[in-house]
Amino acid sequence: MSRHFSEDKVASFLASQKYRILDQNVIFPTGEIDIVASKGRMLVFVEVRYRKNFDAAETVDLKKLERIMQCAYLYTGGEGSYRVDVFACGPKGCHWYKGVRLDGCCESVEWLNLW
Amino acid sequence: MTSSFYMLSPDDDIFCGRLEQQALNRPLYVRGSSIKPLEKTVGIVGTRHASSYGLKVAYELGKYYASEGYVVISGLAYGIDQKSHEGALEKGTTVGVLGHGLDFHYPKSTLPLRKSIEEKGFVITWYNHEQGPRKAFFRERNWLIAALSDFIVVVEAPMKSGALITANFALQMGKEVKAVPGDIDRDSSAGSNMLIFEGAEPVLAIPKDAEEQYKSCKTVQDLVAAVGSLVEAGQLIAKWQSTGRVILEGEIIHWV
Amino acid sequence: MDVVKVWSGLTFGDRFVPVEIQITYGAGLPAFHMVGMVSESVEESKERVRYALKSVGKSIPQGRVMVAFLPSEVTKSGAHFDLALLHGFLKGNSERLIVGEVALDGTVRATVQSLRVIAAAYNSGTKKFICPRLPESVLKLMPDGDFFMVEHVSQLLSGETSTAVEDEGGTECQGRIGLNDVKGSGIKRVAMIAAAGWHHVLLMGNPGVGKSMVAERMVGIMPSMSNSEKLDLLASTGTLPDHRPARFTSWNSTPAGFFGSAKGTPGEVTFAHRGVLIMDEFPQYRKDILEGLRTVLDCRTVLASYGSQRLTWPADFLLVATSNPCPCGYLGHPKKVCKDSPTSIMRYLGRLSGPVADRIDMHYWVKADEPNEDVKAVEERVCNVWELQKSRWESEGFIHAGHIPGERVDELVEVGSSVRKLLDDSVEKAGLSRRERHKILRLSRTIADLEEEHDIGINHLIEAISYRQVIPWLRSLVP
Repeated sequence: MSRHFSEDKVASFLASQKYRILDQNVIFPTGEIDIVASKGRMLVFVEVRYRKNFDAAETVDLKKLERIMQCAYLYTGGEGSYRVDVFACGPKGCHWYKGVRLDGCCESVEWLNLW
Repeated sequence: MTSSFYMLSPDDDIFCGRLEQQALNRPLYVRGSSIKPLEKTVGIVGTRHASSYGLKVAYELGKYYASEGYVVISGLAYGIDQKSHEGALEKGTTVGVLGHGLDFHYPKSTLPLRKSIEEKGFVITWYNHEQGPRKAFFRERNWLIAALSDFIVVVEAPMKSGALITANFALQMGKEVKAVPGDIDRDSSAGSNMLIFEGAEPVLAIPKDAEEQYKSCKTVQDLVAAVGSLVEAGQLIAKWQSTGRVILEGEIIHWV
Repeated sequence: MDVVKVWSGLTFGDRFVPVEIQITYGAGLPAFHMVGMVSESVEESKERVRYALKSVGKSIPQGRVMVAFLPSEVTKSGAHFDLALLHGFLKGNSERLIVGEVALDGTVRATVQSLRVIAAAYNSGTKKFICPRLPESVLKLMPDGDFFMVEHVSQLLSGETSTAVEDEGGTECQGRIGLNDVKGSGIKRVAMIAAAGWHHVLLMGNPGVGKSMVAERMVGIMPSMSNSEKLDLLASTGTLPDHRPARFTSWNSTPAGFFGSAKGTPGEVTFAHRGVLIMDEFPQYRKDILEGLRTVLDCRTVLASYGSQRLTWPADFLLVATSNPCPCGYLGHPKKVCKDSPTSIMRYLGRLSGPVADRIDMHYWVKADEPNEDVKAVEERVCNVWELQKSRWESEGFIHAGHIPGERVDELVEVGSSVRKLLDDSVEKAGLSRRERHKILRLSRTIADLEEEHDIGINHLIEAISYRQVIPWLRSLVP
């Protein structure tokens, strides 16, 4: 499956932020994780979304979040610390939702101009 | 049943000479709160096992005659007797004639009716208050009904019945007998129909109300004075207005 | 934490419940949450608000939006919260009461519910509003109100206010049909008495004699509605008729449609508030409606309980019921013969003498060939009686003879001692109930007032009694 250019952009951005990219497009029975990265002991599972016309973040619903969480659990075996990040990209840039929880809340939001 | 009673002789004023005429000299026992002279009387008699039609007619006739000022005389049995008493009580007064002493009552089902008759009219008998009912007494009672009445109306009676006996007594006394026509296929009206065949005057209609009586009333006040009650006057006005016979304009009654 | 507070409201029966709307934002994936017992109709306003914001070039702020409706124990329903939400997003806090529905293109509309909320809020002391454009006739009812009317959402930003919607001319007199085309002087008089003293009427008659037609025209001879009456009607139903309402109901109505449902929709009895409620074919109505009508007639309000919620609506209507005398309709007809069995007639009439019919003051037999004389100045006479009775009893808490409570009739309706004695004797002789006696007194008071007489005379009493004797007369016709 061809990879969207935004995923590569995000991966290279993360790398520039001192993250180690461990895997891209990891496929599990429950779904797919776009990027798996790590910083220190923290594993980061990244979901990248791109929508041309509206806020991509709106397409991340509870079902999608649940799937990502399940994949993350399978990947880590339930051990160690990890978090889930969402990159909601549009033509003008990208919102980086850090540490998203199942209810949609997150630790912080950053606006990035990746392209 | 231990309240007081009066013993009257047949020439007492309240009988207005009816019993004297029949040349008789037995005392009569009377109980009731309103013992008044019997000026106009009518006897209404009939079978105990009457049709619903007969019962209704008995009631309406009792009511009609009472409203015309007649005292309705009957025998306090159930059936026709009971209904004619009830009808009469609604508009006026009535007299029950018993076939036994005043301390007894027969039949039981008419006991409440007897109580209300004692309140508004009276009951009368030939027998000492300790005397119980006997079959032969009822024939004598029928004679007394005929004697007390100015005329007799037989509402519904089979061929062999006390009502026909009463009618015969009345005819012997030279009094008029009227009869209500009944169904020809009904045994219980065979006797009354036969009376008509033999020349009794048939009762063909029950006069509905006393409209004619009040036609002279020109104002509401007149009507109330004539009727004696606001509610009854209102009832008459409602009925007449509904049937289009009067128009009420203020206090003036226009007859149409 | 920044919390924006705006407020709107709800109606609860005819009661106004202020609703505070708090808006706050949080970090997270975009979400628009509403809490506080919001029903589906309020949930939908999310989408309307989203697109209405777009119409003025704005969008819902990034992130998680949380909207709370307080008090949270009351179920919120209706589309009138849109404008308040938009105000919260665009302008922030507001002191004014905000109601109005917003379309996708940003135009602001008045819903029935928003009219009810405005009227009910005004009744309970709120004077400042942000609302859609209202008709002049509505504004006239609330002279102290300060209305910031918006036609489009952009006006919230620009601060421009719109003018009221002009009323269509000439509606004032339309639809007010007097008794001129009614045939029969008796029936005209009955209509006049009923309208003058607010006495419920039962019109009986053979089919086709014009019973329902008279019923419809009764509102035409009453004085026009006062502003406070109109405001009550607007607050409870959201309707504002040009003249007193005349509501035709049908015998197959359901209790919810007739009395109102506890979910918040008023019923026919409330729509007929301070007007006429017409019940055609009265004995055919469902038993539960007839039973329920009893308390409504006594209290002149409707009470509905729904779980823990208790709603009241005003329901001070004049009941005009019509009925045939028997199932086939021809009992008492001058020429035709009634074909019904005595038992079926008695059963039919029995329905007319139940507890509800007992509360109807006047019964009248409508005839086809009644002499027809013009009754002059009907409206004026009715109006005079209204004013007279109002001045006489307003301090007691009611304004019509028909409203005098049973326990005070003897005290408030004076009858000369000789007439009273005659009445007492007659009532006792006929064995009438106390309620019956009270009806006669109330009715005769109105009749005397119509004749401009100070004392109740025998003729007034007789007329009043005669209006209570139609059913006994019909019974006497049964073979």
